[in-house]
Amino acid sequence: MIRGRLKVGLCALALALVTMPLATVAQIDLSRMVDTARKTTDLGDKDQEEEQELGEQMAATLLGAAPLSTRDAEQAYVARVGHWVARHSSRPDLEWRFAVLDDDTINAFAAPAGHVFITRGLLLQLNSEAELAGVLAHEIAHVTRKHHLDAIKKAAGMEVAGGVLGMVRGRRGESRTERMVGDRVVGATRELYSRGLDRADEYEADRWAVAYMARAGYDPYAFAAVLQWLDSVATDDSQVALLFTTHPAPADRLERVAEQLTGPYAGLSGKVLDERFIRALGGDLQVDAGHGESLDPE
Amino acid sequence: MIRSLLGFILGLAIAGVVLAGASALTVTDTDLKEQPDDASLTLAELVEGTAVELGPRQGAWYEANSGSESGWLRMLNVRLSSGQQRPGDAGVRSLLQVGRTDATVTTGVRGLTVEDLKHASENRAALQSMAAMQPAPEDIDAFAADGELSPGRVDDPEPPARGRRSSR
Repeated sequence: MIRGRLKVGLCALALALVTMPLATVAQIDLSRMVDTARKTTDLGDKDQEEEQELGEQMAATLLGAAPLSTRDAEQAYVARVGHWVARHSSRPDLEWRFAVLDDDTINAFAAPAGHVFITRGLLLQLNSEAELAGVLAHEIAHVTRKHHLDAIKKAAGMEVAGGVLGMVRGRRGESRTERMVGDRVVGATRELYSRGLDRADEYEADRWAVAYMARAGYDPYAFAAVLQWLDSVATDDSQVALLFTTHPAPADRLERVAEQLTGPYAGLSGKVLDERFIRALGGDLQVDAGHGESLDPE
Repeated sequence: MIRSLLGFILGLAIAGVVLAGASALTVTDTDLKEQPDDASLTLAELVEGTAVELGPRQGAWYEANSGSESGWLRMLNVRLSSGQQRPGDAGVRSLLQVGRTDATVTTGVRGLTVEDLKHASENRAALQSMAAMQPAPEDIDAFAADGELSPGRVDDPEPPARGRRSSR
């Protein structure tokens, strides 16, 4: 590895020596050239580390605004569906994490590096596991397409690769200046979740959602059914206020998904699993109703 | 005991599917089919704006009643009426809210607002809890097998149609 880097550096040096007039050779800073070569090869790792740090910070900030649901069966079920769909995404190897937020509004969120959230308010409006898979697939697509990652870098004015990492880390420590730039990331996170992504990103996430859920074996029309239902929710309903201000109109999203389902994806089908959905969420019903027992083990 | 109670509740939910209809309007001229299949018998030719009651969905189709006939309609050819029950509503909401003890259902929405987000500070403890809740890989395999979910080959989605504005 190190040898490889050195080779790159030496090749670059050799090339420079051949192509440069003698007078400038003396001015070449050798260490700098090796540094540049190293930076290029490390970029992949650094990008991943940066995405992880940023994703954790964004997810933690979101969790500062809404608590996790304490219903275990619900959490376990949503996580299983999410992981199964994520396996069929373009980035199956991320450390995917799924959770239900104990919140009555209708919404779902993603943060870089594989963090996905759905509110309990939305979960209880769904009719089947396939619909849940569709909602989660949309968020998974935001992660795989790096929508939030790119948006946050842009918002915080840190488009240079590797620049964000130092700033996020700076928050935990060192100098006052570093902490200040770190705070900019937190500020940008709050702003991004309040304002939402670019509309084109939302449409793109819808397109990939249909692909991912269908690859995972779910009926892709279930996602269209969710959008169709959202289209019928009154726009002044406070439960959907944040969702509606941060996303394109459901009718516009449905129109595009419909084109996809009747065009290139015509004929796709899959499982709906409505009964498993009710059974899974019903597992928490026992606890909620104060029976204090879980289902017969058997 | 618990299982039979759950069975009873599920039974009620399934009965609810049959009883509850969601109203909708056709958004284009569309055929009411005998089966959820274009090749099946056409029972009625519904014009745009026809009021229908919808039942459960099956793939690209809703079970539908136009008042005089019952059959199947292409789901993308209808628009749900505002504030109605969802077609094929499994009744999860009413079932699960039975057991809720908090008063927010009647007093208002306990909801995440823009203000909450603007003042949020990091909760690293919750992030750790979230990490601890994730299933093991073999658990996911078993879950998929139980649902008979079989992965399929699906092409990457195509970029948006030409001429489509990607408006902000």
